[in-house]
Amino acid sequence: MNSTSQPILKVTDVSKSFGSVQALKQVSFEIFPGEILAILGENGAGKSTLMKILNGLYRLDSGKIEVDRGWFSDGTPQGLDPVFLESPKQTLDIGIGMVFQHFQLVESFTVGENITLGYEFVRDKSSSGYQRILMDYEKTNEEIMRLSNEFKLPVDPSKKVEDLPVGIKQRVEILKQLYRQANLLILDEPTAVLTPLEVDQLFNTMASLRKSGKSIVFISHKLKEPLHIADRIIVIRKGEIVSEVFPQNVDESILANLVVGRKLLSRIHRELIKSKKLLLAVQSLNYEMNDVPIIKNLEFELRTGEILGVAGVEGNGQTELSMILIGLLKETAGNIFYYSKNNEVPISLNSLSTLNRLNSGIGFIPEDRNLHGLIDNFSIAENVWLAYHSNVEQAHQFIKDNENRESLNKGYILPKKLMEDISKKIIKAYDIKAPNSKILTKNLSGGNQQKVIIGRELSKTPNLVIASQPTRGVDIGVMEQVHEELINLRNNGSGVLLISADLDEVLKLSDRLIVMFEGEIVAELSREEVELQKLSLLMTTGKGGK
Amino acid sequence: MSTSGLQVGILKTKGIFNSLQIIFISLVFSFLSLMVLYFILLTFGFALPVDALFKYGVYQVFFTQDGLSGILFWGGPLILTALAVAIAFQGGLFNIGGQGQFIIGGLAGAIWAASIVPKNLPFLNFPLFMVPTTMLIGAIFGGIYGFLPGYMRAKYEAHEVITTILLNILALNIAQYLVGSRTYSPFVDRTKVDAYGQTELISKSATLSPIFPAFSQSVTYGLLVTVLIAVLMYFVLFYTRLGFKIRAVGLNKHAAEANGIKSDRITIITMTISGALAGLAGILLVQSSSVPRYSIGIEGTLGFDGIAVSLIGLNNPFGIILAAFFFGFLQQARLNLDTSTNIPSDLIFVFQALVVLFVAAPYLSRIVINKFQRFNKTQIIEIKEDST
Repeated sequence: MNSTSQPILKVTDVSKSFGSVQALKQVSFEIFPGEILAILGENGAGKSTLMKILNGLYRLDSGKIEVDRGWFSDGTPQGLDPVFLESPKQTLDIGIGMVFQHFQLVESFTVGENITLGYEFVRDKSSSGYQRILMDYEKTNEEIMRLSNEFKLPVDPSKKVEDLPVGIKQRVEILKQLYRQANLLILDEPTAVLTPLEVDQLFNTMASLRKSGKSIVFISHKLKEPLHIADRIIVIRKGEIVSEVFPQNVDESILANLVVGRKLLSRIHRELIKSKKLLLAVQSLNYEMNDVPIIKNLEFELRTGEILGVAGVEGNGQTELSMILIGLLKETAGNIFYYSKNNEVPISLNSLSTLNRLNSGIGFIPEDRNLHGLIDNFSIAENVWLAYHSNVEQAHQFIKDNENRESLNKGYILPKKLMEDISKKIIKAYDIKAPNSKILTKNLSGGNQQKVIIGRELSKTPNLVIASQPTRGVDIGVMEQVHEELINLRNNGSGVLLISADLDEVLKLSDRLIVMFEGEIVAELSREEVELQKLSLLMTTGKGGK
Repeated sequence: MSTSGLQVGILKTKGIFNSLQIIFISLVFSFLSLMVLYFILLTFGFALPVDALFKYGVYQVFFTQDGLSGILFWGGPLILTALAVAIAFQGGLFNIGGQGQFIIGGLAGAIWAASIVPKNLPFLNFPLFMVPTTMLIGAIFGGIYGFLPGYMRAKYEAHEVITTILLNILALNIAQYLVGSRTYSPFVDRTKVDAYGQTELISKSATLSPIFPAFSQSVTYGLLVTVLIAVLMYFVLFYTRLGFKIRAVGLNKHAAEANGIKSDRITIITMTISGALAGLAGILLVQSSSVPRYSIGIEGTLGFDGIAVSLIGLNNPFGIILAAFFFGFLQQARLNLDTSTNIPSDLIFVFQALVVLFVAAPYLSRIVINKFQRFNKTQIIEIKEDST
């Protein structure tokens, strides 16, 4: 970044509130040409709101936004003009392009069709008859190859998007914005879905875009990445910009304190557990979908007082494994044995229903919280009750309320008071930001939704927890808390199967680690023998083990 | 996943006080529909006689005994058929088989009370036994007729919209076979020449008597049963474990399953209850009728109208009671206008259709609801901050 240049976009005193909650309070900052600006903050800090204002999806309550139209159109600064951003189309016309975390791609279209969507090449007028209305795929491909070479983003324009790995899809998304002549790119949590290797590639891309004069706003809640790639970091907390720092002047811990606003004390204490009993044994587990093997001959054991991490790039059978263990998918072959509490004889899970598995002391934190975890249009209390609907006794145990026990109530009639008490207890214990337990969970932020699920599952003091991506898309504060809870569970003698694409998380928590690649376990490592380099190789190629 | 269920899902509400919203919505949409109607007529060169419209269409309906009894008479059966649709909606299903379930319920109950008991079990032919069992038979057979598409949906993923439509046609033909013909139908009164197309009169001990004998339209204790059922449905949906599971499956089947709810079983139960409600509507209509028998075509479009009523009532039992009486009012107004003015009664159908069209556009309803809430000075607490 060079400090002498003029800003190309200036945000002054922007405020935005939803109902009684102020999401942004007088936010001001500038973006300069050819810089990567990172906006860092927890979930719920107001990052997304800010971004949606810049994209024209939300309108601001007060404040102003100015852009340098000259720079956006041909690169010569002309000074700032105020603009009113009213629609994504309008921001695109100015030259602001947005890459969402959830890609806006048509899966069954080719790369070329996706990139040119909305601004397609049609054969020119000289063509005869019906040909005039046909798409000009040659020209499309030509143009994309040109862009792809110019910005060093290799893609194959004729490939279908659904066949591409996530990293390439993101590249297509970026190319789409470049094709639409965006000079300022806003990337929303771009690394959340990527493997470590893909993250490196993305950073190379960002660096080369910067070189060719584009500006990038990089939104993140991770600490390492902005330090690595950004020119300037803006930290946002509770809707306010709390500081602006340069990466060369700070380190991770300083940044963490800025983001969270308090000192993060890592209270993780890994107790040494001596007597470990077998808890879960998976034997030659196979799963096929439409005759395609997804899981091949999986064998592993999990013991009490242990966190077994399952590392691997997403889509290598981990999702299916978690679904099979909880009974949402039926295995093709293999045995699963589980030792419930105070039980010396294992029970075979194969024939048990999901409900029976849950009631035998298994907790499930699903990968997709809005699909398998929560019912968006249910209140917090109702969502919490999902875990207790056929186990009222346990709900009483959790609340330890023997006096007001509605002894006649076997659960056929919803015990509204009990439901409320439980959810209040969970809201309090996990510091869920909600005015009361009657709020629909769709109105909570992602982090708070995740806390509802985790609070609910752990409130049953499970014997075994299957945790799939337990901290996906949640901020550092919540992440720490979830990690603590999982470790506590382990220290108290429960077992945790931790499936996570976040390598840092797996490394931090696991006692033991298995690496899955294409449905197989390609390595089993103890905590001590993990090497990052080797692990990364194992995850991406399946080779590199012993 | 039922797309229609999701569509309508936006409008699902809960709570007695939301009934105020429904009145508000009905009024706003009625007004809008009236405006549209006015302009439609204007383009054809007619002016709507507003005076006559209000005199016969509103005043005489609300402020005369005839009018009021008409509202109750026409609205009553709609409550049950709409409840049938609503509970299916709550469970994420779109039951358009109300028509068929109505027929089967009415037919089975009528045959029970007209042929089976009087001829084979005459010693049971007393009101205390006959009135409830006839209702029960109607509900059970309607329930069986709802169970079928529910089972097919749960076990074979046959979409209930398709299967219920087919079952509607099948029901018509079953009725045709059982009572349609003088030559082969088993349950017609063969002693009379023109008795085909209907069952025999049901035993007097199975009929329901009018609450207010003075009313011109007979409003029977069936209405009381209906309202009780509506209250019961409200309780079941929002205060019991079964209702909890139904709503859970309806809102997010996957999350319900992940939390140990057997969604297949719930789907079957939901459709069975839904069918039973429509079947009950059928038999109550038979029992309340002044010529108490099942005759082919008695269902009119009650089953389908239930969909519209359920929509306007926001799939909430209390809302449905209001919406059904709103439809009853429209019907009565149509009859009044037909006899007393030269306004074509078809226009009321156009009017009804317009109201439903407005309601069926969820965004429109939401705008109205939002306005209502602002008007009602209730603050919606929105704590959506940052959803990454």
